[in-house]
Amino acid sequence: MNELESVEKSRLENQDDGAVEAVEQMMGRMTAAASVEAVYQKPIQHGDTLIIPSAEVVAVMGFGVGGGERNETQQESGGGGGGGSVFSRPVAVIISTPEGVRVDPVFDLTKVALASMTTGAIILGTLFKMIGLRQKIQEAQDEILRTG
Amino acid sequence: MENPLQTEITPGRTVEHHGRRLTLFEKTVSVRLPGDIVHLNWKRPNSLLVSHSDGREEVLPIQDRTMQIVILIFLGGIGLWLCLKWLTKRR
Repeated sequence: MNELESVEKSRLENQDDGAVEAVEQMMGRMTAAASVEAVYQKPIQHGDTLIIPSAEVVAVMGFGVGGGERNETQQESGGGGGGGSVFSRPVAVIISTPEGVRVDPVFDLTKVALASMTTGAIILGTLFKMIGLRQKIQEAQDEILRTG
Repeated sequence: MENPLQTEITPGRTVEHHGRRLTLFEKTVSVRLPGDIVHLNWKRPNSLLVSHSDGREEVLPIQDRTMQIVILIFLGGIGLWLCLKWLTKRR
């Protein structure tokens, strides 16, 4: 019985090691994705001009592990999981010419339009609420005047 | 205890072009929750150091124009919303 227990224990420990290794591998891959090379891409030579695109990179990762206690009917059990996401967005382009070096910002019209629409919707909502409130006050005043 | 929020500016690769040396700097903001359960890594281009062959050096900041405009729109929206709220209360 003791031998069985030790075999089971080592099996679970091996499983845990595998899970930790997988999480470490995933974190390593995601950290590599957000490296300096991801922020500044490979320079592109075009005639006399050198172009270096740059981007912002956001990497988010998380994981968790859990386990259950052993009781009379069930064996000890455990599990874990993790995940993450890497997001990248162009910020600017560095242009080097024989005349000089300049940084041209990248303008993302979609993002600006989305921000404008969200803000506009909130402002409109507040305005409609204001108009509704004014109408209610007017109605209440009329009611008071009518009842005398 | 380690600070969960860390910011650092690090030099990246160096590129030589037309007798100029361009050194690219990046900014890293990392957030680590206790126990390393969640880890956020935000990297963005920070600035560019241009070293000319005559010894002159200049720093060109890399600005995120899109984010600046988005922040401006949101701040304007908050300002307008506060004004409307204030007007509603006054009436």
